[in-house]
Amino acid sequence: MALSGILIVFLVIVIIIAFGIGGNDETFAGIYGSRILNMKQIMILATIFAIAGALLLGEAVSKTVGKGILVNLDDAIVITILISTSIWLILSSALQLPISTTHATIGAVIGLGITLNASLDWFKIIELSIWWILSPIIGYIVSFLFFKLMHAYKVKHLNGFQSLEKNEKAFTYIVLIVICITAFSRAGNDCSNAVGIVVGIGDFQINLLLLITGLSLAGGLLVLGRGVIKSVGRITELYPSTAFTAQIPIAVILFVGTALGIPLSGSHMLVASLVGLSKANHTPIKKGLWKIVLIWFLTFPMAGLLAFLLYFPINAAI
Amino acid sequence: MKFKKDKRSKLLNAAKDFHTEVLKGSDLLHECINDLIDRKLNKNKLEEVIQCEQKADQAKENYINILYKDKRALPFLVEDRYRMIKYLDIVSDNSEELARGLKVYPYELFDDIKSDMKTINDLYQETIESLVEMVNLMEMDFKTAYQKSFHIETLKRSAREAKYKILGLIYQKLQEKSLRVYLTSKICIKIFDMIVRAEEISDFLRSLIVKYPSK
Repeated sequence: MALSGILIVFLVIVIIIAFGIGGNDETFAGIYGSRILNMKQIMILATIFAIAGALLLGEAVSKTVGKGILVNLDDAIVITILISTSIWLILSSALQLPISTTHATIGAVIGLGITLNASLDWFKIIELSIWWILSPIIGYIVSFLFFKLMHAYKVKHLNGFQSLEKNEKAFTYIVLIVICITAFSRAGNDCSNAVGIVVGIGDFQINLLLLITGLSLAGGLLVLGRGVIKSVGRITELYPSTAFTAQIPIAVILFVGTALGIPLSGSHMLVASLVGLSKANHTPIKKGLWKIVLIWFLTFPMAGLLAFLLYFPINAAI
Repeated sequence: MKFKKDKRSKLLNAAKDFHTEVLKGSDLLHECINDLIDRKLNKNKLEEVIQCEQKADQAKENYINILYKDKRALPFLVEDRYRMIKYLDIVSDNSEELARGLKVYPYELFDDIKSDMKTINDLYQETIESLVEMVNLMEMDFKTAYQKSFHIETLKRSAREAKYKILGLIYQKLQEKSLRVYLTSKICIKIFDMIVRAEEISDFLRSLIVKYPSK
């Protein structure tokens, strides 16, 4: 295939990957659930931060997916992993269910590793699986304890609409600022997942590529992301202060975890932290949580199956 | 900062105006029922109850306008305040309804039910006063508002006893005109229904206190 043809194919793949990742981005769920902003306002903000994050932070990172698990990566493998992950992300987003991009990627890597009879680092896989199980547990416990702490020292002393309003308004700004920063950095990080495969191929204008990625992330958010945001934001009744309790400690833990190289899942932690919050606050959990848990369990095998089905045609095409 | 304070005081003043009109209407109705018991029912006073409902409606509209004008207000608080307005408006509507009923009531009350009618009427006034007080307390003091709701529940129980005492006496009057029996029992039932409605509203307010994270 001519170089320009390959570049177009890769560009389409980048768009699909970014679209899939953007579609499963539940960063703004707390803002939606606590009704700090309505969906239209959220979509505008999310679009701005997706494009800004991709343009300003995306360039610095180009990520090699599967590094450390599979040995001897080639283009067909990387593309298969990314496309399988994206398809699974798009499918789950279409069902309005949040999944972990990392776990879909790992599922695809394992599926491909088994298909190719490649050497897999099982120790690494077990380590990742442990974190996969620990992520929701950590999310649950942290948000439960953080709520109790906040309740004992701050919220409990609020008396009447006026003090409640003052308090909730203060949390509105904090939650809004922190979530916008998270969306911005997440866009940069997500962008690297999508762009990574084309960096170094041909003569791509990196800024144009980042802009396309940012737009695709935003497109995913606009088309599919709103459903995921809605379904996560409605897991339990949220106020700005409780959205803060559920989302901020998780953002901090994720940040620290990433810095320490611990592969925590943001989606799993957030969903579990909302459940922990509802338990701590004695508010009911909305129906349908089982669907989210089910899709978490299906992510590994389905991403693996998709990778198995896609590898041979992709390999033949490349 | 000053602008924010102005907005808040505007909202609170609008709420106060609305609550005052609701309370005025129920106080006047209480007086009218006492007049009926004492056989000196004044139709002009009943007309004043109806006018109070109209004034309460105007105050309500003003309150709602101010409430929805604040674009930075938290949506859940706007909704809850709006529900409170709607429920208090029902209290005011009910007062008007009974006032209109009393205007066309063609009989005197039976002598033997007078003391219990007075009891249920006083309970009605106390319930509405407590409810309006509870609504005001919702702004500044959830704890006292929460306790107030239990007081309203106690008032309803006492009112229920008074109601059945009155009905028990009325239903034995087989020799009286059935229309008089029916209409008199209707007055008693209507007063009790207003108390029940007030208690339902206080239950709703209690559920608001419980649902907020500060519970």
